[in-house]
Amino acid sequence: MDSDIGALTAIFTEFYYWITVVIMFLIHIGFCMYEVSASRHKNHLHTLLKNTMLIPLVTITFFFFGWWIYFALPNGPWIFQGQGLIDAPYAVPWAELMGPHLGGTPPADISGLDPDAAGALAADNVLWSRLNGVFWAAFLLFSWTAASIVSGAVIERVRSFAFWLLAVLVGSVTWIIDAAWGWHFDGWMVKLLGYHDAYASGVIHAIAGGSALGYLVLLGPRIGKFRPDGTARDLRPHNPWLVTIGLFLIYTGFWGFYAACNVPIIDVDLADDRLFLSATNIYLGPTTLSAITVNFLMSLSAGLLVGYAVSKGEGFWTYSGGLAGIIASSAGNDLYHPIQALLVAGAGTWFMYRVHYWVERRFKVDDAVGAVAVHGYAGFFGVVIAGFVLWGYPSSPFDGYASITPWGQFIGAIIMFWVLGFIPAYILGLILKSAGILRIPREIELLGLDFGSAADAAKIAQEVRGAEEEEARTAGLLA
Amino acid sequence: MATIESWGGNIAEIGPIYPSFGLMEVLLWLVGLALWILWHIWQGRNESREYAREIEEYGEAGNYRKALASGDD
Repeated sequence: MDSDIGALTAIFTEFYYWITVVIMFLIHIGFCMYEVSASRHKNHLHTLLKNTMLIPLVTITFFFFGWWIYFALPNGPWIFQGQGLIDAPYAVPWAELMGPHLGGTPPADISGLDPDAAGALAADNVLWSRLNGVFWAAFLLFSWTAASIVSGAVIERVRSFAFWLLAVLVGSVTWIIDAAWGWHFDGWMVKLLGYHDAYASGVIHAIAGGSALGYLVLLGPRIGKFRPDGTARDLRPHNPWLVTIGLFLIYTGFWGFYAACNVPIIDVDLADDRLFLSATNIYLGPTTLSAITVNFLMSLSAGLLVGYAVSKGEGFWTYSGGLAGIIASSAGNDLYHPIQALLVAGAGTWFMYRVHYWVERRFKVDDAVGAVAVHGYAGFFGVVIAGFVLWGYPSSPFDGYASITPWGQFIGAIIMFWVLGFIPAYILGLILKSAGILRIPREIELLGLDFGSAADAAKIAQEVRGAEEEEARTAGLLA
Repeated sequence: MATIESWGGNIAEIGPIYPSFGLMEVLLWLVGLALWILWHIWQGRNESREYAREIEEYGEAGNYRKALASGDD
């Protein structure tokens, strides 16, 4: 902060990420609205609270250990084979940079540090004091999103306790492990597999979809979802307004998500004697905000067009198709030509719709809002297809990294959806199910999750009416 | 306890500005973790208690019929 340009860059970057956090907040309003549209009136309040309360739970746990995971675990499974955890001084929860900090380091005679260590710390502190909090917050909003994706699939029958444990698992543990592995410039999946996933098709969406599936296969369907002969009833949302406005808010929040996935301005020329400032993706490969803006819109458009066509104009699947389109092309939207983004998004939307209904028929899985499809299958598709469209591209500006390949992307997609998505959620769900605390009691499911609170309120209202009548009688007003 | 006693002097040397810097960060973390875990334990038990109460108090045929008749809105 001791030069104008340095200070401007730091504070611009700080403000940039701050704005993305505010925009991404809209995603969660959108999720609340469209989950209410998909659930029946007797379950609305619980559905809203189930989604809302993941916010504080993921926030505090992301502070307590999630942020540290991102910086400490890029070496992946090789942690146990000598490469070890990476030192993460800015993200250890008790580190000074996790609290308000002006970037200075007291002189050695005050801090007790030797002058060399103090000097090195000072250089890092200047930047990290401005960025650590907003980076943490941007990643936190990704964490909320990962957890919230699961929320819609399990409505009307999961216990809040069971869901909130899964929210912490997905939001503060498994997704951030996958980010350390495959969404970090130093991640082992990028180095060894050439894994490329610029806007999180796999690292957020596939893993969340896989986690939702892990719970769904244990949870069982809503009562009445399947007929006695095993065929599924298509339980449509009851409020088209909530679907529309909810998904539009999610699209809007997704804009912020895309911007937050980028580094806004950094020197991308690795030569010491040249300078080229550009936005980059998370892997520090150059891209532009302009490029991803066009690709975002083309992907959304393809998703809406294909979603409308495959569902024959059904509202929920049309809007969900728009989202699936963006997700399907997100892995490569930093590099795709806009028409490539259009075609990839359209194909991914068609794919996820078909697979959703195949899984429903074949395995009797009741996914109330199509979350496994829109996020899981579309995300998986997006990661894999990027391996073909971007085959041979460098995964990183640094030397020695594998290039992008179909097999590297396929292995990456398997890791995201199955290894870090489905399996951990399934294990947690199995533990809770065996303890009888995964699903709500049948009686509550039939009465409705809000029945008790509504009945309690009705009792009190009746008592108040009685008190008012008595008062009116005493005052002679009811003669 | 005050980490900052004056805003005068060389601002470039000011680092952490939160109270009690260097004294209790680990303790605060442990307290936070404990409160988080206790919240889950309380919530899980409370949820089970509430379901049991509602089934006991409202789990009669008339209420089930009312709930089923309320439709799918």
